[in-house]
Amino acid sequence: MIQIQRGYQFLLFTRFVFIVLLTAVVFIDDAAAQCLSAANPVGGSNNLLVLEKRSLRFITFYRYNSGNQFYEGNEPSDFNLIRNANYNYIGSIIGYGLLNKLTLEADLGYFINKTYKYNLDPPYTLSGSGLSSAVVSAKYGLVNSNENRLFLSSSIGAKIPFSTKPVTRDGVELPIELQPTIGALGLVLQVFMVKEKPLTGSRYFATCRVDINAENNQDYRLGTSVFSSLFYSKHLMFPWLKGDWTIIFQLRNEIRQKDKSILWIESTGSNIFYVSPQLNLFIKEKVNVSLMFDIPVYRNFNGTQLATKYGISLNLSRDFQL
Amino acid sequence: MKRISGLLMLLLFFASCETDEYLGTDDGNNEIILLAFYSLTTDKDTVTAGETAAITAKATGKNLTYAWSATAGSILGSGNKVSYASCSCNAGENIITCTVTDAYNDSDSKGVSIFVVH
Repeated sequence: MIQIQRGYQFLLFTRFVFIVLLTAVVFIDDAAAQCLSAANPVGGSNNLLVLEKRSLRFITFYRYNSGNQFYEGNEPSDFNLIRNANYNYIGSIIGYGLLNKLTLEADLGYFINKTYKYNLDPPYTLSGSGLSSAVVSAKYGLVNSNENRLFLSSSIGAKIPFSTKPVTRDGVELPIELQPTIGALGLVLQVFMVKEKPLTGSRYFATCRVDINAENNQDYRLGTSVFSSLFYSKHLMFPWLKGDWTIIFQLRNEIRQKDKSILWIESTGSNIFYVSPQLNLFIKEKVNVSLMFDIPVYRNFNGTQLATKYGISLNLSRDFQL
Repeated sequence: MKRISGLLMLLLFFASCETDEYLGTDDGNNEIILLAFYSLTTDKDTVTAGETAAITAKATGKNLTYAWSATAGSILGSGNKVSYASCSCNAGENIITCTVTDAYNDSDSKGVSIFVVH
């Protein structure tokens, strides 16, 4: 009986690992300045826990984000230079369990577009695309308590741009907010905590990520950012519900310091809270599909900035044992 | 003696005339034209956030291409005439740079300042 319980707990745990990792897929590599920060994703590693030795995790995701309202401080502004801003982004994360407590990860992504539609007469549209910065990191399992169902891990990584040259269109350099990458190195530090309650099928977890950025070749430096999240996850166990479904609620806080280029850049830096509901489906205990919405519930910007209206992510994940 | 003086004066006369410098021809047997970037001007030195300013580059040369960049804000359009769109994030002095390049890969750059106020 005890063995069955342990086996069931382990099964729940592995499913949980899938789900938990996908909930962090809100993080996409940070690629641009903050003045019109609504159109920029936030980035990072998507695995919350370390992988087993010699296991490979492959995640692919798509993200759409849109914004059309400027805010001054925490109030809507009548500034309306940009009628609409949006981006489409695809990314992949590959994780490999080098040791039972050590996982290596590589996070790559591509902006299909980063677009500004200007509210001018005649109307004008600028759009950039390209590879965002890669993040390569090592994750270490600090606490792995099956008895208490408590897990803690941390990671350190480097942000590496694929290009340091700004993107141009018809000889015109795109504004920094539409560049797919800021073209600078960075340091990424993360901490993850997971607490399971297998009997109720629920989980609690917390993550924190710090991005410290270097200057690029144009002497521009993105501000240091701190992203913190709290999650509540519940396995849906209804008799009428077919399939292995889990619902997750995330409360996320994103704090960004001002950007700097010799002097601090005005209208950069912000403090934003998001609520992100997510629905996961675990298929044949191998593949996890996840749909997530990003809804900002509180915004406070330095100066006047374009705010996110909403974001949508679709994620797919699979593990392989090598 | 008079003839020699006359010839000398004639030579001096032609030598003092200004003539266009002939640079020869290129591989396509076309006369080489030097790149000359005369000016980079804006119709507004100061704009309020959200306003646009028109910027014009005047240059002569062969098969000119124009490359634009700004310390902040957006450049709209292409070619020798563009618009600069400002936002609140680039209040203060912003420098717009234009680099003109000709068919022989010679280039020249100029910058113009536009102040953005709230």
